[in-house]
Order: sequence, then C-alpha cells, then structure tokens
Amino acid sequence: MYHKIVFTKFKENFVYRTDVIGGIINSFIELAALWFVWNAIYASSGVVTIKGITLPAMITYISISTVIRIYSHSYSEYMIHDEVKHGGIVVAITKPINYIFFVLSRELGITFFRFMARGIPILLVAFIILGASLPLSPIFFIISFILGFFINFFLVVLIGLWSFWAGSIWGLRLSKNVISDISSGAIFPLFLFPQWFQQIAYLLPFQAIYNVPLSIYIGQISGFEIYTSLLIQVFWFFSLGLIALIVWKFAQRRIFVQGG
Amino acid sequence: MENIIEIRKVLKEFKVLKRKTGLKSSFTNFFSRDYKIIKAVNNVSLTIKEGEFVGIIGPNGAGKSTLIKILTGVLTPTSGSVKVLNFVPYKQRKEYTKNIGVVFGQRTQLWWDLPVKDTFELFKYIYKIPEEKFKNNLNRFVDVLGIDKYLDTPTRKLSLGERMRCDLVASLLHEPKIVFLDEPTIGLDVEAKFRIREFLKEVNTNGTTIILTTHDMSDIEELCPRIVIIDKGKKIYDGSIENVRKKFRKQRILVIDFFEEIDESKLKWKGVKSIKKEGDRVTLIIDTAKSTASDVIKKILSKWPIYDITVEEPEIEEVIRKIYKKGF
Repeated sequence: MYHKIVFTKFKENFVYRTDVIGGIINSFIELAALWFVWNAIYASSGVVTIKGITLPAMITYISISTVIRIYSHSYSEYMIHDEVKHGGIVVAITKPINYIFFVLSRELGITFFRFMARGIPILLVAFIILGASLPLSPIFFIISFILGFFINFFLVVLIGLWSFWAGSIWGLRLSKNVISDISSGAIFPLFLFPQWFQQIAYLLPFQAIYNVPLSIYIGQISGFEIYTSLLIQVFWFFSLGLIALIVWKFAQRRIFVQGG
Repeated sequence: MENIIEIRKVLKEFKVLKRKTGLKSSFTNFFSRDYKIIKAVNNVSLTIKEGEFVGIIGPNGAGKSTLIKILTGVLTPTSGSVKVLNFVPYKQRKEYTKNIGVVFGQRTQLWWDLPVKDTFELFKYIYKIPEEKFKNNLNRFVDVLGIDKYLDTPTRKLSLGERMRCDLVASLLHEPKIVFLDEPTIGLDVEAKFRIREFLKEVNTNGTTIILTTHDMSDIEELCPRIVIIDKGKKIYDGSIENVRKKFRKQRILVIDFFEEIDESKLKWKGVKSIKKEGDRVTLIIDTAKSTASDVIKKILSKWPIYDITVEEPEIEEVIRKIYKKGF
C-alpha cells in the first residue's frame, strides 16, 4: 500500500507546473554556475590536474552533485512541521499506516518525479554537451547513491520531528544546511580542503550523502577504499535510521493536538 | 448488544505555557518557563453499545475533541482505562485504526491537489478493500450524498459542503465498525446538512456505531437518541434527549395575536414569568410549576377575543444553553 502513496505523490507533482519549471531552471543555473567556476579555476591556474583531478572529471563531479541536490534539498521537513503544528498529523495517525513510512513514501514520490523532470535533463546535458563521463563502478555508485538518499532522509525526518519540541525548526534546518553544504562535498570536493577540515568532515554524516557516492563515481576512491566508504554509509544508515525511529517513538508520546 | 466502547475514569491533563505580556517577561520566558496544568478531560467514564448513535455536545473548549482524540488513539490519557473494540487505541493504533473511520470537520483527509477519487483509490490500498466491495460502497455512497459530479474535481476546488461529503465517503469506504465525527456539519448549508444527516442515518441503520460531536442541536435532535453533555472536561449528562427536555419542560411560551392592542399589565397572573408586547402580539412565558398553559389560555379567552394563539416548548438550544450555564 505504501507504493500507492509513492505513486499518488508522484502524480500530484504534475499539478504544480510552475514549481516544476522553476525547479528545472534552478538545477540548470546551479550546474552552469559551477561549470563556469571550475573552468575559470583550471584556465587561470594553468594546470591539468588539481590534486589528481582533471577538468572533465571535475565537470562529472559537479553534474552528479547537481543530481544529488534534487533530493538533498527536501521539502519533507516543512511538511512534517506543518502537520505537527497545525494538527494535520491526526489524519495520518488515525489511519493504519506508519507515519514515518508515510513520509518516506511521499518523499520517494517527489524524488522520482524530480528525477524524471530535473535529473534526466541534467544528465543529458552533462553527458552530451558538457562531456561528463559514466561511473567507473556503476553498481557501487548506485548502492552508495541510494544509501545517501536514506541518510539524508533520516536527517530530514529528525529535523522535522524536532517540531514536537520546538516552536520553530528553521534555525536548526538552516544550521544543518550550511554545515552540510560545506562539509559534504556538495559544492567543493572534500579532497580539496585542508587535512584537518577533511578529518572533521569525515566524522559527520553529510559527507556520506555527497562525498562518498561522488568519489566512487569519478574513481577518486577505488578498490578496498570503496568498501570502507560504503561501510561508513551503512553505519550512518542504521544509526540515523534507529535514532529517527526512537525520536518518533518519543514524539508520539508528545502528540498534543490543539483543540478540545 | 455488546459494549464496544468502554472508558473508565479517563483523565487527560495538558501542560500549558503561562505567557505573560510585556518585553521583560518575553525575555524571562525565553530562559525559564512557567507551566500550568489543565484537565481537558476530567474523570470521564462512558460505555457505548454496538449500533448506537451518540451525540457528544458541550461548549467550545469543553473537552469533546480531546475525548474523541483519546477514543481514536491520537492522544494518550494521563490516567484511566480506554477500551474500544477490545483494543487499547493509543497502544494498538495500527490494528485498531483499520476498524474505525474518523472525520475531523476542520481538516480534510483528501489530497488537496488531486481529484477526490484519487484519495478514494489510495484508501482502497491503505485499508486493503476488495475491489468489489470498494466499487459497491463507492457507488452507494456517491448516490446518497449526491457527489457524483465532484469525483474528478481536485479537493481545493470543492466547497466546504462538497468536501465534507467526500470526506465522509473516504472514512466509510472500508466499512468501519465505529465512525467518529468531530463537528461534521460545521459551517454547512441546509442542503449539505440534510444530505449528510440522511446518509448518517442510513449508515447507522446498517449497524455502524456513530459517535458525533456537534454544536448544531438540530443534528442532535434528528440523529442521536442518546446524548452526552461535557463541560469543563466533566461528563454532566448522559442519557436520552427526551429526558433533557422533560427536565426543562417547566416552561411554555405562549404567543397570542389579539385583534387590538391590549393593556398587558392585566395579564400579570400567577405563573406568568414574563410579558413582551409588540403591537397586537403578546408573548408570555409560563412557569408550569405554578400554572399551566391551558389555565392562562382560558383566562385570556374569557376576557378578549383573539385572532391566533400558539404554544411552544422552549427550544432545545435554549435548554442546552441553560445546562451549560447552570449545570444539569
């Protein structure tokens, strides 16, 4: 039955035409901006590789990073917050469904739609026009990409559920997004940062969303290192998933819907 | 008939933040918070049998919705025992909610931007309703409620009355054993109310237990043989609507149209509580403990020729208002 929720949410997205067009434009502007930046950096420094990465590999990196951003900038925090604050959550709670799985199904529905509407055009432009290349280890990349999706989802759920304890979640959400943008490798690859910064970033879950799948994709990590990186993702997948479920358990006790 | 709802000594307390006004207290509130405890439901016991149609009424903030939320498993009571259909709602929510239907009048369960029938289709999967049963129920409900025109309309484009009818269908497709309706007729026009009442009567006749909260006394008069009155979290009455009427049948309202204006001071007999004159029309309220309507009518007829006379019982709304004010 959750697949039906995924499908229904997918279908609902067709209604929001301006949102869809805006999203596509947004993705292309992000990609274009990064493309110009990296072209300028390589041209002005006059080198062929930066820390072993060529310009085409860097273009590949930013293209796939733009695709990951489709799901990492989620709307679910907002939806959870709204449902908690305005009591819409009772509708889900009086149905024989698990709320977290319900939120996940909606998120998947939106993600599939965005992937179709934004991801595929971005990939086509990246491969055909910008000369991006295919992944070196496609299977590992896909596993890593999916794990990254769930790690991001659990973080989103945790922030959304914070609404049960706080009046507003926007401060927390902003902090998470800023830390994530810098420490995940979303905009600049982590291996370009100083050693001490990398060491901090590797301790955070955000690099498991961007850095790991992207590094696997362009071959920055290979061989045995792929396994250890995937293992770190699996660790975050289980621990954040478990924390999200525990927080949800506590949140259910706090359910306090206005009115009476 | 079996008891399908049994709640005993249910208490629900809420912690409410005490906010003071002024900049200084805004500042102190940021660091330390002061709470007070509110008893939204206070020691309520209630049993309801299968097939009953029960109306829960009470003024705003009396605790009706909190009670409904406890019964539907949304809220956990602070203390007391709750048993519905042999489930403890807040503990066995997933299994329990398969057997109930819920409509909260002020919010919709329909997907806002999709045609109504898409939500119905989704619920078919959520409740695992067999195709045959789904189609039969949908056709029947659509017929009685007259919503066939709206099935392809997105929820956001429906009027309140249309939306409410669709919400009712959504919560009944899986043939729940109990339906909880929290103010389903709030803000609806006469036609929508009529359709909904006819529909609810039919659903109840087919054996579904219905629990309804409302502010509309005509809902109660038409639908609910049994009412529960709640005020300040306490159950203050539980019984038939007839009993409420009897208890308050201590007055009659007499409206007399005379042929000409009369001197109303001549009507000040024993038992006449109030006199109101508007031209040829005089309205009297008679205390039936001290006199009777027929006595007063006889006296009037012996003195003046009259054009018309009507005797009214006080409106149930009036009665309920009194109960809220003074208690039962």
